[in-house]
Amino acid sequence: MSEAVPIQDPIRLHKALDAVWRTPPGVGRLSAVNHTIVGRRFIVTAFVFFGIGGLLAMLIRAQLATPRGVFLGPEIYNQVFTMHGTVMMFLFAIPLIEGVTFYLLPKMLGARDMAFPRLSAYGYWCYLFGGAILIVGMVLGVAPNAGWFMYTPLTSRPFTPGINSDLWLIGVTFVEISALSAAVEIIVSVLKLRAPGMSLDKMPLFAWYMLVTAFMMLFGFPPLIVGSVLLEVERAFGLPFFDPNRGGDPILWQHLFWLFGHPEVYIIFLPAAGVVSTILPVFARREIIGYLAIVVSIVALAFLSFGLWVHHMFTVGIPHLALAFFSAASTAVAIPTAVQIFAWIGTLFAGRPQLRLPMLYILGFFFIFVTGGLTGVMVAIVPFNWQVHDTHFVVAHLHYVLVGGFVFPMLAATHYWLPHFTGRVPRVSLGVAAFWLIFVGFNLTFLIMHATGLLGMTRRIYTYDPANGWEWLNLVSSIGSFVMAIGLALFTVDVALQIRFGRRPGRNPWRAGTLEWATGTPPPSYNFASIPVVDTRSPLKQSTGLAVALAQGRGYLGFVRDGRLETLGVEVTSGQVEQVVRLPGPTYLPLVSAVATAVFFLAVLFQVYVVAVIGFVATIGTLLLWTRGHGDHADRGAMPIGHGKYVPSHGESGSSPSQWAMWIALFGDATAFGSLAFGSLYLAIVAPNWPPPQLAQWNLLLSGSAAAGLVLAAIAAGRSVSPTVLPHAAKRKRWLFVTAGAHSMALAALVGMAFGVPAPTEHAYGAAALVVLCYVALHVALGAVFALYGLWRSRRGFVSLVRSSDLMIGRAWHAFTAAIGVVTLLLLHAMSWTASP
Amino acid sequence: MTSKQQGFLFMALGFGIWIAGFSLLYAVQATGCEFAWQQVRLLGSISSLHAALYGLFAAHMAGLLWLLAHCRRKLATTENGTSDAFLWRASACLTLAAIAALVWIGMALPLPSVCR
Ligand code: HEM
Ligand SMILES: [Cu+2]
Repeated sequence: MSEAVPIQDPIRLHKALDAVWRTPPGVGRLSAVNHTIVGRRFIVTAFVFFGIGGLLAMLIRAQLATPRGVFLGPEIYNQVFTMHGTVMMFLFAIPLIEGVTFYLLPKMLGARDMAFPRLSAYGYWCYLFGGAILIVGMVLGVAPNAGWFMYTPLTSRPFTPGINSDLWLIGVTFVEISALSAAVEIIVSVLKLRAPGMSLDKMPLFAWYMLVTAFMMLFGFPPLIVGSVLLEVERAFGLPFFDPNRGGDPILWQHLFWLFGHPEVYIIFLPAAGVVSTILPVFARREIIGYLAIVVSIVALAFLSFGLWVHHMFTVGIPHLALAFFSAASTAVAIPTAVQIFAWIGTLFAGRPQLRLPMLYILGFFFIFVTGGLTGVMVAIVPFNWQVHDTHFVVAHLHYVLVGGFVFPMLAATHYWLPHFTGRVPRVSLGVAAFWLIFVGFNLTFLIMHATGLLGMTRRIYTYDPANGWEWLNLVSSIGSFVMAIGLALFTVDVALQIRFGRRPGRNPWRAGTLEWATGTPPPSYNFASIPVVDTRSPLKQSTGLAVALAQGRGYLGFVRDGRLETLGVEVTSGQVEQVVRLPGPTYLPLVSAVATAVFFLAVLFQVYVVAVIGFVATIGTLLLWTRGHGDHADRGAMPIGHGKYVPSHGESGSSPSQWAMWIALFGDATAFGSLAFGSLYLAIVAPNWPPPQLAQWNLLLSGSAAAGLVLAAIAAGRSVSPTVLPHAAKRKRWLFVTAGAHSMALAALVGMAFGVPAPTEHAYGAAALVVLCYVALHVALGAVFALYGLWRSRRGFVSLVRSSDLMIGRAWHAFTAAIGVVTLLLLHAMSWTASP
Repeated sequence: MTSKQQGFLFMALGFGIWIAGFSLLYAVQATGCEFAWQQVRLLGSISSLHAALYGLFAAHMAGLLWLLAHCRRKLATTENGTSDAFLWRASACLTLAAIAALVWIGMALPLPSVCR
């Protein structure tokens, strides 16, 4: 293996690596998949959306500055606050987190890229296109107008007949593809793509934060997506999931939305807290206190935040006992949050803190976020909640949490990491002035809003009467918001000046300990010329010469092999090297797939369903194309990685990132299925106007064949990867054929069952049964495709006893499909049983 | 799943039991009210709905207590300072926190107005 000889000369090593890792210029940039570039795109786009959302906020405040304002009419006002909330939550906060994570995570973990670079690129395009749909709708004056949580029945067809609500449901769902794909990718990257030796307890805290956050995204977004699909189906085809006259229930929407919506708040807060836990110790000039306590508290926080959703529904009429459960859980989250705050304060006290600009923002964060937390505990108490529900008190609370807990840390992050992005530090800084304008402006705007809320000013009203006594309060609040806007403008100018005219400081200007500062700044396409061994939580503190040693190729993989992009994969907990992960280079495929996906979503929006089917098939087809040219035709065995070590390629490791990704993705899928099942049962048990006029007469022959097909497919797929079958192409072929055949049988039976569902537009019973059947049928159809795909991979020589990854992934899918299929059949029978009088 | 990865998995188990208990308590409460289980009296004053809720609480608490003991046993047999020890210690702390959280919401159980 002569090509695996380490290159000791930094310049030659740089050239060799850059030649395979770099993104082509010009139009070629559309083919970028590199995490630094994609991360940067997410960040810049998110800040553009922040600007749009901010502009909308200014419109709101301009309208509310005086009583009987005539600046915006009621319809426009509705669109403006809805879009403000939607843009801020879905197009600014979450994507900004994704961008920061994509950019930083591999560098902090000592890897050369994320585990699935093309997936991040695909996610970016979905985000951009989905966001564009919403913005175009707004420019055309048909933006969503029913509030960012889209309550039914207001958003149902009879009350919002226009396209407004459809834009939200389809645009946001499109954007959420990027959140789900990011979740899977972040989890796998943290678990598998770390520097050798970095055991879980040596990970930088930011990685723990993002690992937990990504799991929350994985479990939090599916209920929203399921809810959105159900509502869109109701609007488009009249299936009455949320219509109480026909056995639906508008409260079901609230459950599905807030099952997502409350965790969402912590999905936004945790990464920001991760930023604080990363930056604060650098300026306290000591290691963070309470690493274990912080890890424990973020895991606790993540779980607790899934037990709170009903606190948004305290006023819908819920029994006292249930209120008490959710009130208790809501107050409990304050504790893990407080643990982190005490760890930060303790670190500051134990260290020798420096008040640099990022630190100023962190102090601002402390002040504002703690205030928001206190009002949070107040609204968690049921009687108080009843008083202030839907008033500006809540608006004030949510901005204290979101702006304090997210925007301030992100502004700190901008100042802290900008030198990493650009290789420049500021010459003159307007930053302090900007900070004070933002801080004072913010408090002026929102502190006062608590008062207007307590005085009875409800949210989402476009005008008010001078007799209410809210006049000067609102005026001051509006003035405050303009002060804040000026501060943010100054901040932008400051950043632009630094990018353009900043000084070049050399590596690691803040003397930080985490690995991202071991790369060049701005970072080269491959991050690390060679990969470090890590045995401490702050590797750069431990060895100050590390960056230079890595540039000289003295770590692992300090060479280019076969012109491939390589990084290292590790065992999940111990961080021992396990595999060489070969990553894809620049390609247009993610863009092509995203365009196909856009065709699907636009066709659904405009109700041309034939085109939608084409778009869907094209999406799946182009996604499968991604694997072309990947994999090996023969077993290669262990490969040298430097320092006399040998490990297999990921395809032969038996624990490839793609296998992990499939397992993780199926957790998300299971959550979606669970939400659907929950919804059906909820309607059957709680909704008014049950039992339905007509129940399905399930044909036992059909449900029996469906069950048999499902189980057979799973068993055959299991056989196809057994050690006795795997080495023999003919045997593999046979079992994969059986898998595909069994799926076809199950599909036929499920379609037959769907015909037995009583008129789905007449009652939610039929609607729910039909949708659950479709969900399973889709999985079965895809299962058949995947089985045939496995067959093709097997025929082309990509499969062997050790190269079984393709088939293992398929097997996971088939097993999962069988599981949800069988549960569905039981559920359908159970629903007939509970619904029968 | 190697034995190494167990400690990691157990980090999610404590609160996994908590969230399962929490969801079931809420689900059984809502379902029971729908089918008027609170009117079916057992043992004089305790309604069958209340009994079901206490049962759920006790079952999940028992699971958590077992888990805590298990994590502590594992921790005692793992060499200090290793990443395994870290994961088992984290699991033990998380289980303890989950127990506290279950007690905290369980304190609402004696409330008489289950369905109003
Ligand atoms: C830049 C300064 C901001 C100002 C001046 C501002 C102002 C406002 C105001 C006045 C409302 C209430 C509108 C009404 O109920 O009539 C509102 C709603 C809202 N804001 Fe902001 N906001 C700002 C930033 C943000 C940020 C950064 C986020 C999230 C990350 C956010 C999320 C929301 C949400 C979710 C709503 C509720 C929308 C709805 O009722 O549907 N805001 N904002
Ligand atoms: Cu909440």
